[in-house]
Amino acid sequence: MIEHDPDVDLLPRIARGEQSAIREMVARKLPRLLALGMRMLNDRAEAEDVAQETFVRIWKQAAQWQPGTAKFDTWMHRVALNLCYDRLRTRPEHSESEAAEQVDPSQRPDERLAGVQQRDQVGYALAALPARQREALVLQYYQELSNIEAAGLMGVSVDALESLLSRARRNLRALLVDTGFVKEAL
Amino acid sequence: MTPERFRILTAAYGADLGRWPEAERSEAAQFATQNSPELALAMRDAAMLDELLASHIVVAADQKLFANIIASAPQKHTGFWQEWSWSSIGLLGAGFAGAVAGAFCVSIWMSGMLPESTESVGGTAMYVDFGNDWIS
Repeated sequence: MIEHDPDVDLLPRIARGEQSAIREMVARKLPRLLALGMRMLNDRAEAEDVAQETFVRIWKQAAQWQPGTAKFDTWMHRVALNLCYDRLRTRPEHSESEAAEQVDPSQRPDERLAGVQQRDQVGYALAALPARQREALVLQYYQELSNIEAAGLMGVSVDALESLLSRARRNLRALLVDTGFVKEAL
Repeated sequence: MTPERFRILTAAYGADLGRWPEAERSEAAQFATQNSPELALAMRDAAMLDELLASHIVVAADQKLFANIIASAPQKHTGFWQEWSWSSIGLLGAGFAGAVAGAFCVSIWMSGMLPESTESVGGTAMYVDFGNDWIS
């Protein structure tokens, strides 16, 4: 049983073209979508494209939404993540064999970070994480989804999510230490 | 809560208990008060990484992006009666004009089919004499 979802109240009004509801939805969701896209893709233009495309899907879905089937915010995250992965797959640095889910220890940190365009070190380090680890960290820490929601979105158990999160944090710390951004003590 | 579970949770969710699984928060909060140097160190490291993660800020969307997204939204539908009233006025007007024109044409055509007895002569109508058959 899904508890009352405030986003769903806006959907019939959006389907009727009510400007106040449309603006309210954009004000609520655009910052979340942009943040998700930026942290997954590390590219402002692509993150904006993902946000815009996600809203096009939202507008289409507004008239057909079935209350009680899913939480709207979770569905929206799924749509946006799929769009992010579509883009990541077309990138030359993307590796299909990320099954190991580990940062390659034989590769120097500066090499791992070389192809990534981002102005700050935490952004660099996030972008250098394997995609599934980054996804877990972004959903749990930045998007503030519950562990159950994040695991459901990723199609893994809560235990598997916790394992991804631990590895993400450990690798992130190693990347930041190796690049000299933080002290070894961390 | 075991020390091992506490360590796993710290490694996965960081030092802020508010981000931990809801079902385990209160027990973890009690456990955190224990004087364990090892767990305190793990919490301190996790807190430092949390601080770094929090420093990553995404610049807010600009007005242009906001406006583009609003423009891609569905347009407002006019109400049924509003749509009906304006379009139907036009249709009714066209229909009425057609009916008048049609009636006029038919009347002209019919006038050519009238019997000769009803033709007027010298501006005076001539009537057929039915005699007294109609008088009861």
